[in-house]
Amino acid sequence: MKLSLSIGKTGNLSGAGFGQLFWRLFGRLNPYRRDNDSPRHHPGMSVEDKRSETTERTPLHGSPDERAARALAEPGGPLIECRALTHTYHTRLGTRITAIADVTLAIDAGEFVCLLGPSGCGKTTLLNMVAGFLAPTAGELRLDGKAIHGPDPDRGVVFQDYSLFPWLTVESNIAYGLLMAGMSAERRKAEVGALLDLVGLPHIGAQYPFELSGGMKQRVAIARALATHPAVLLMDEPFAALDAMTRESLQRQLLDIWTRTRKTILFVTHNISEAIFLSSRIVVLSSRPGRIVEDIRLPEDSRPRKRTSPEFNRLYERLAQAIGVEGSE
Amino acid sequence: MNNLCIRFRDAILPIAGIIAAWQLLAALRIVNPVLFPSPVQVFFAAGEMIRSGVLWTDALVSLRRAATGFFIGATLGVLTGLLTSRVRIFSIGLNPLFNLLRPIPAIALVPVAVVWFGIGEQSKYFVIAYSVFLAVWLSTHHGMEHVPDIYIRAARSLGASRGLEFFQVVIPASAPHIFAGLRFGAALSFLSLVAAELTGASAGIGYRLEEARQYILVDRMFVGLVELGVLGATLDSIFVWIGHRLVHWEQA
Repeated sequence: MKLSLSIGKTGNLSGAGFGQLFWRLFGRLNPYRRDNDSPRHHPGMSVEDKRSETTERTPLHGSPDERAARALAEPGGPLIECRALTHTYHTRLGTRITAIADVTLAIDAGEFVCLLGPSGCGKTTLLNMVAGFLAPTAGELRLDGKAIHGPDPDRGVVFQDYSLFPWLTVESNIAYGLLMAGMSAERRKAEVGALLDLVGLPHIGAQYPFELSGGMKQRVAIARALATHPAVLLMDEPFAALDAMTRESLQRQLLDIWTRTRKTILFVTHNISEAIFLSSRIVVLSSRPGRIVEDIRLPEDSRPRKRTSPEFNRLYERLAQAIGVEGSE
Repeated sequence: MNNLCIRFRDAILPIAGIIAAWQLLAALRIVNPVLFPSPVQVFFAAGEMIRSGVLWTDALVSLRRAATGFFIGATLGVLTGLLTSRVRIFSIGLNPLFNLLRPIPAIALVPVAVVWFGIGEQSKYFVIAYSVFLAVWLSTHHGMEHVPDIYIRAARSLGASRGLEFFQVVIPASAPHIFAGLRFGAALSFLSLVAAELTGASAGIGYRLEEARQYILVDRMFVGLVELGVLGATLDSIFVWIGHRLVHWEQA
């Protein structure tokens, strides 16, 4: 155990090498392999990607100005559209539970939307439906005008639990979506390098997930989700398992990534101050069944928001009341 | 160097202590030395068996049986596990059968195997492969069924198809379970080996034990037991060594 740990750190493959080599070769076992330079485009692949087709993908996430200009140039409906969305399911004992009831919500490109609510209010259910992991029982769900059917790389997901593949290096984890899209090895390498820089972890590509701290793992998970240039980034309480200090530093980093990429983000949390600090818009869901009780757009003038400012605290009080819990921190 | 000393101390000293205690116990002559031989007697019996060559031939014959049976059983176990965990019709049809077979010990199958395959090598392969198969099948099936959902979801949202996801996510994610099953299967192949060799064999460690029983040569029996212990422990540590490297991310 100690042996393989130290080997991983130094990047010396002599000891544990054959296992690593085995899985690297095993991962190449790909009956559908298309190793060419034209990335496959999914039917619903990211709007931004199709736009940037004409320009070129190399400037990884485009400057905010370019994005804004493009968004203005292309009129259209909202990016994500939920109409009368309902999800019910049966427990093992046969009880019928309505997790989400009649939710209508439109999210525009570039927004940072927090879904805020008490535990078990169905906010994760809503996110899972947008991700395509769950199908709506009733209602409509569209991304860029097209109905959502199942998961797709046009929606990147960052999970609450650590979801990095433990048998792959950080590099291979981030490159996974690019490999699936059939990108060539050189281009994958360049993209992975840029993504690692973006999340501020330029030197850990050769390490394995078990060698990283919880905060680093989630930053790598963000990089992996961004790799396929998704139209929207879905985040399901990604910082809930981290300690308070790491959480705040990751919140700042995520905000930084959002300002640089202007990626549309749908972020689920039960932490009020996290929601206020991060979002451009907060959607509050009530307890089961989840319904929208508040939809607040926040002013963009005072970024980063000071957690000690009076406005921050006023909003905090208001949200706490809307949720029905006093000071849920 | 220091590390090596510690490992030597941890591995050798306890065994030396046990042998010393055993020798002391035998020297007290509480029990008849014919029934409870001292380490020295066992050592001389082993020397005799080495000179006549039976020690090596037995070990080789037994190892070949265990290896062949293990290979057949493990291959079938992994393949069947893949099928029953992924294809519903196989799990409905086969799981009840395997669950009924699992409590049946390998030794109970020896008479059947002798009738079916005669007293040749096939009956031994059959008995060993049977017990290895069930152990490997169970852990493969279990490991594949319990691949964390989050890996599947992550792979799907990154664009993996079902076929790819099987090779690139399901198999590596269940590899620790499959490997644990293989290791357990290797130990079982030794257990069932002795059962298979007790009847209808003319060589092998199990046969030699049975032969020694007929002549009441307890010292030769002990040689056989030590041989089984040493071979089994060596095999197991080889599996551990491979496992540490193959599923290197499992820091158990």
